[in-house]
Formats: sequence, C-alpha cells, structure tokens
Amino acid sequence: MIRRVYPFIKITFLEGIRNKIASGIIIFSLVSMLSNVIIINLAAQDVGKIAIDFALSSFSLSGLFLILLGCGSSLYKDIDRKTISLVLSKAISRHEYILGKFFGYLLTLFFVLGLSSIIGLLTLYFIKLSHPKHFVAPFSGIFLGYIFSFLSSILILCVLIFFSSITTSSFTAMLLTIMIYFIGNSIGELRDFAESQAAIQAGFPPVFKKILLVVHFIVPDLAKLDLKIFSANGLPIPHDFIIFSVLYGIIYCAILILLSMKAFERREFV
Amino acid sequence: MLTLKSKQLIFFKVSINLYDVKEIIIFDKVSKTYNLGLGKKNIPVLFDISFKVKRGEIFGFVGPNGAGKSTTIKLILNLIYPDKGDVLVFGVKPDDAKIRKNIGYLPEIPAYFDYLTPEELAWFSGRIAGLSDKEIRERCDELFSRLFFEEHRKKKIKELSKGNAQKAGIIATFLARPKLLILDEPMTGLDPIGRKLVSDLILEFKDKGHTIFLTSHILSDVERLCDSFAIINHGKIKYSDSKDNLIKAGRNLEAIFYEVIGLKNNH
Amino acid sequence: MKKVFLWIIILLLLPIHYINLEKTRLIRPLVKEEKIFLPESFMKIFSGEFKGVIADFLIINLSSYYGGIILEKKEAIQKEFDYMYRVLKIASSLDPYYFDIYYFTQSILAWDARMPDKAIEILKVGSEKRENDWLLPFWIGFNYYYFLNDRKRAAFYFREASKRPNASDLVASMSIIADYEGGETEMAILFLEDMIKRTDDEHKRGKFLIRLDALKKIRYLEQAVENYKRKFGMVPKDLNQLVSENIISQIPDDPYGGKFYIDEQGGVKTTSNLRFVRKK
Repeated sequence: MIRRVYPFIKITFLEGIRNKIASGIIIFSLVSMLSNVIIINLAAQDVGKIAIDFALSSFSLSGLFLILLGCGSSLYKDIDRKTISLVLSKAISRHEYILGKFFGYLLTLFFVLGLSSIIGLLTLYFIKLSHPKHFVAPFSGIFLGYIFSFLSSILILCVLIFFSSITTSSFTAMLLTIMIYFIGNSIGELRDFAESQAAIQAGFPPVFKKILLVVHFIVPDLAKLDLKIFSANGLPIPHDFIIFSVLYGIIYCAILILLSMKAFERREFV
Repeated sequence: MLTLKSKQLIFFKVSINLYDVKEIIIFDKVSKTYNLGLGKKNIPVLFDISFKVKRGEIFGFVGPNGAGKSTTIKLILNLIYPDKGDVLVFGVKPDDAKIRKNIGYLPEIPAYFDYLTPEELAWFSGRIAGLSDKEIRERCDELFSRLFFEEHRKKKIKELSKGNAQKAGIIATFLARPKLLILDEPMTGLDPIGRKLVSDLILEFKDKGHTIFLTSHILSDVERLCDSFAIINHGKIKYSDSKDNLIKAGRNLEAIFYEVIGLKNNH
Repeated sequence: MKKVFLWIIILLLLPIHYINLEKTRLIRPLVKEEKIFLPESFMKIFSGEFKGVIADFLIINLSSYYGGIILEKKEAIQKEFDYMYRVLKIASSLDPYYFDIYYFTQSILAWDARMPDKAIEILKVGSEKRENDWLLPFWIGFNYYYFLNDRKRAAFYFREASKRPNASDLVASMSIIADYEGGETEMAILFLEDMIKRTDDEHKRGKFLIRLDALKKIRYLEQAVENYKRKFGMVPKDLNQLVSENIISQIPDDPYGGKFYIDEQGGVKTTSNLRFVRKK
C-alpha cells in the first residue's frame, strides 16, 4: 500500500515545502527568535521561563499557520480547483488518497517545523549560555515541549483533513478547524470550571456539565498536548502523563483519519 | 456479503478480461442528477445516455458548453456515480482503482500542482502506473524532445503559460501509455505547431492499438482525427455515427452539429 | 524626469513622516494603560495554549507600568496598586509556576503598597504550586510577621519554608528572632539583605539599599532606646533625650525624608513610614 501511495506522498510533500507559506514560516521563526533575544531583557528574574514560553508559543503558532495556510491552501486547490480529479483518475483509491495527503502533509510539517524547532532550540541554547543563573529549566523538558507541540499540530492537521473530507468547500473546513482549535484548547479548563465551586455558586445549571462532557469526548483536548508551562518552568513531567497524552493524540488522529477515509469512500467530485 | 462477492467478481473479471473486451467504454441508459446539498435544487445533467467506444478507435465526444461532456468523463473515472443505468469501463464497473492504471486522463483546465515541474508531474503519473524510474526517464527524454519542451522540463508549472502547462499535462498523460486515453479538450491553448504535434501523437497511439476518448470544441480536429462521434446536447445523445458512414453519406460533422443543436437556419 | 519624480516625492515625505512621528510622541497625552480584564477563570479559558506567554507579557507590562509610575512620581496611589494586584492575580492563575509573579507580589504589594493580605493571597497560590521553592512560604511568613504581627501564622510558614530544599540559613535565624519581642526590625534587615543578594536590577537594588539603610538606623535608635530604658528605667520622651543624655551623638536622617520619633509603645517609627515623602 505505502509503495503505491509513495509517489503521491512525495508530490504532496514537494508541493508543501515549495509553497511560499513554508518559507514564510521559517522567516517567522527567525524573526520571532530574534525578538525573543530582545524580549528576555525585560524579564525581572526568570529569563529562561520567558524565553522558553516565547519560543514554544511561536512554534505552536508556526504549526497552526502552516496547517491552516499551507495545507489549507493545498486542500483548497485539490477540492475547489479540482486537482483532486487528476489524482483520483489515476490508480489511487479514495482511501489511498486520504493516506497520501496525510503522510505528505505530515512530512511537510516534520520538515518545516523541524527546521523551526532547530532555530528555536539554538536560540534558547544561546540565551542559556548568556544567562546561566536565570535559565534553570532543563533542555530535556524543552525538547519534550517541542515534540508535544508538534503532536498537537498533527492533531489539528487531522481535524483539517477530516473537515475537508466531509465539507464541499475548503473554506468551511478551515473555519471549522479554527473553531475546533479554540474549543480544543479551552475545553479542559471549561470542564474544570463547570465542575468547580465557583460555577455552582454562579448558578451554572448541572446539565452544562453533561454537555461539556460530551463536547470533551468529541473535540480533541489540545491542552493535553500542551507542555509549555512544564517546559518553561522546568517542572518534572510525570511519565504516565506523557504516555497517556501521546496515546490520546495518536488514537484521536487515527480515528479522524479513518473517519475521513470512510467519508471519502462514496463522495462525488462534481 | 453481497458487496464483497461482487468485488471479488470484479477483480476476477479485471484480471481475465481487461485486454479482451471489444468495447472499452459502455454507457447503457445512464442518467445522472447532481444533488448539490441541502436547500439547493437538484440539477439533472444526463438523461438515458447510451454509447459505446470500441477498442482501438478514436471516439470524438462533442457538444456545446454545459451539455454534459465533463459529467460523462467523471462517470468514466468514477469521480461520480450514475443514478440509473450502467457505466462499464474495460467491461467492468469502474470502482476499482486498479483498472485506472490503464486509463490516462487529461483534464480540461490544467489545475496541476503549481509547485511541481513538468518532469515531476510525469514521474508521478508514471510511478502510479507502475513504471520504474529508468523507464520514466527514457520516456520523458523521448516525449519532451518530441513536443519541443526540453527547456521547460525543470521549471515550475506555475511559471508556465497556459499552453505550456497543457503540454506538461499531455506529457504526463501519454507517458504511462495507458490503454484508454481520456482527453478533455487536449488542443486548448496550444499553438498550431503544438496542435500538429499532439494530433500526431494521438494518431500514433491509435495505430499502436490504444483507445482514445476525446472531447473538443474544434470540430475540424475532431472530424480529422476521430473514427466515430457522438454529439451531446442538453444531456442527451443527439447523434452518433462512425466517420465511414459520414463520408458515405457525403456530409460533414460541422453541418450535422449545427443541425443537431438547432442552429441550422443561422448557418 | 518622470522616473525620478516619484522618488523625489517619497524622499520629501520621509522627513515629514519623521517629524510627525516625534511630534506625536511628545504631545501624546499620557495614558496609563490600565487594561480591563475578565475574571481569572475566563482569562484562563480563553488564553488557550498561550497561558504561559500571556502571563509573561502581563508581568513585563506590569513592570514597565510600575516603572513608569516610579519615574514619574516615585510612589503609586492606591488605585494603581489595586490594578497591579489584579494583574498579578490573573497572571498567577494563568501560570502559577511563574516565579516573577511572586517576586513582584512581594516587592510591590507587600512592601510598596502595604497590602500584605493581598500579597499573601497570591503568594499562597505560588507556594502551593512551586512546592520546592522555599522563598514563597518564607515571604508569606515574613508578611505575617512583619506587616500583620501574626506570630503564630508566621512561625507556621517559616517552618514550612525551612523544610523545603536549599532553604537559606536565614529561615533558621528567623525562627529564633520570632521568639522574642521587638525583633521586627532585625527580621526586616535580614530579609532585605537576602533580597539584595538575589537582585540584578540596579534600580531595585538601589531601592532596597535605601530601605536597608533606614531599617539599620531604626535598629540603631531602638538599641539606644533600650539602653536608655536600662539606664533610667523608663522610655525617653523623645529622641532628643537620647542625644542630651549622651547615649547617641545625633539623630540620623531618614533616607525617605521623614523624621524618626518614639511612639506611645516606646517603638521607633518614622513619619515617612518607609515610603518616600511626597513633595507637594
């Protein structure tokens, strides 16, 4: 199967990295890391914390931009400009199309975000060398923060592919993906809040709790893959948390990709 | 269970009959209505279409804009599914991706991958059809030089003119040497030299036994190249015959075309 | 000619642009940027994955906001302190592990604003989350002791601080001092000396040094009062008596511009209350 999809993965990847958005993301990383070097001078004590927060946050943003603009525009061409009929007219099944797109974009993310993370890590290393006293967070935690942020990008990518497979316009798919991104990042907090004393005092009806539980089950909990606070403050990250979060991410991606394949099976490309 | 069985059956047919069928494409009373989603009108496009494309012939499919040509092609490629009737390609329903190894499709609008080069597009097409890198390189050398396209080989498709993008598509389609070629407006945007080169290519493939399904607005091209024709208007086949019969009757395609679509008096 | 024409216009516009830029900078009415924030729980929900970085920017903003006030008029007013308390509270709910929040809480809310209750409220969040950091319970204890005069609670937090790794020897000294009356000044001096040791910011260091200077003078006067009591069996009427009885040679100047005096309980105080006396 992979052997047959390989050419499609390759051209998807080539399309992805030659896109202007990919080079834009790299420039964004360079600029944001340059500003990082300036911003840390405003820190009172915790230079490392601010530097890491800034690096990881701009990395997350890079991933989001790359998926929404890069992969989004590529999916737009495929669906709205009907490049898809060129691909599906070849010996590529609907299932293979989704897999090819996913792995092609995955490679693109890996390549572009990999470069961006190298820029970030080098900057952080430089900052650590120049402020050894106020940079206590270990690099292992920072590295893990990058990996988790990458995983969360993959999850968003899967959400985009899923919505592209069930909607007829790529714009709708992008809007829905942005919505899920915002909900996914706050749903955990929202549920915590709904179950807190403050909410009960504020008179939140208990049915909200049930609704939120359902939403939490459906949308991806992106906060589970967000280690920025841990990385930046140099906190130890429990091993079982790492294992279950990674599993959560992978299973969720797998479900989305399988659903996309299913939705694509009988879809008509008018 | 039934679907599994029918799939097995199709696979069986593919492996046995693919090269033996006499009629490469069969449309048997096919109707299609587009359902564009909630709250939108259903648009009927094809009504009881029947025609056959014989092995080794060039079949010209002509009609005004919006007559249903693209819909017909999409049905052949399994991009959409018929509401009624049967579409058979190589004697089987076209829902197995494997049979498309033998189909080469040139879309009307060159909506190719902008950032690829013509060479990479050809490589993609060749690899999907199961060619080795070496075979692809050899055939690329041949086709690029034949279409006088060597200088654009490594440029991005985005940077090419419309006609040159069309040529890139033609190379990618012909490279795999598919048994059935579906060419949607292959001459669009080409200069006279390009049209001559592509016509020669099409005729050469016919001589080698390939079947070609061709749509074009340029009726003279169609008449010169094709062995048989069908004229479609408002989703119905209005006329279909072979070139031999046409010559015997002493008529030309253009006259019939205008007659069929009701422009006789103006002409 | 045509080709250069546009360039000439552009070149002419550039200096005008620059003048406008500088002019607007000068005449811009000074607006203190007090943003309106949602309650913490909502901020937390809407910050998504950028909680950490938003907390960073809140704190950086806060330090420049306060810095601006100090430069302009040396001391902030209550309304401004309330605003800073709100910012610190939100920041601590966004990223409770962030050390700088507590650093500012202690130096601004506890020391400058004299809002020990509010400072303690925020510090408690940090003390719970940063469980290996001895400084935060130490500061809580200090605030209870020095500002609120609650020895029991102070002792509890000092003990908590001393249990945490790398706790300074200072904590041990604190527990000893907590046992006898009138040790506030001693405690404050020890505390400040420690703060000065861990500060890189020259401006803050200067502030701390002034406060240390004032406290050392108060301690000096307190000891003189003790000596007077031992000698005469009663509290002196005012500080001048110390000079006239030759216990000290002269009354030192309050670096904050106030005057030292003896209150009803016989403690040494200053009219500046360790804040810069505003010149009206």
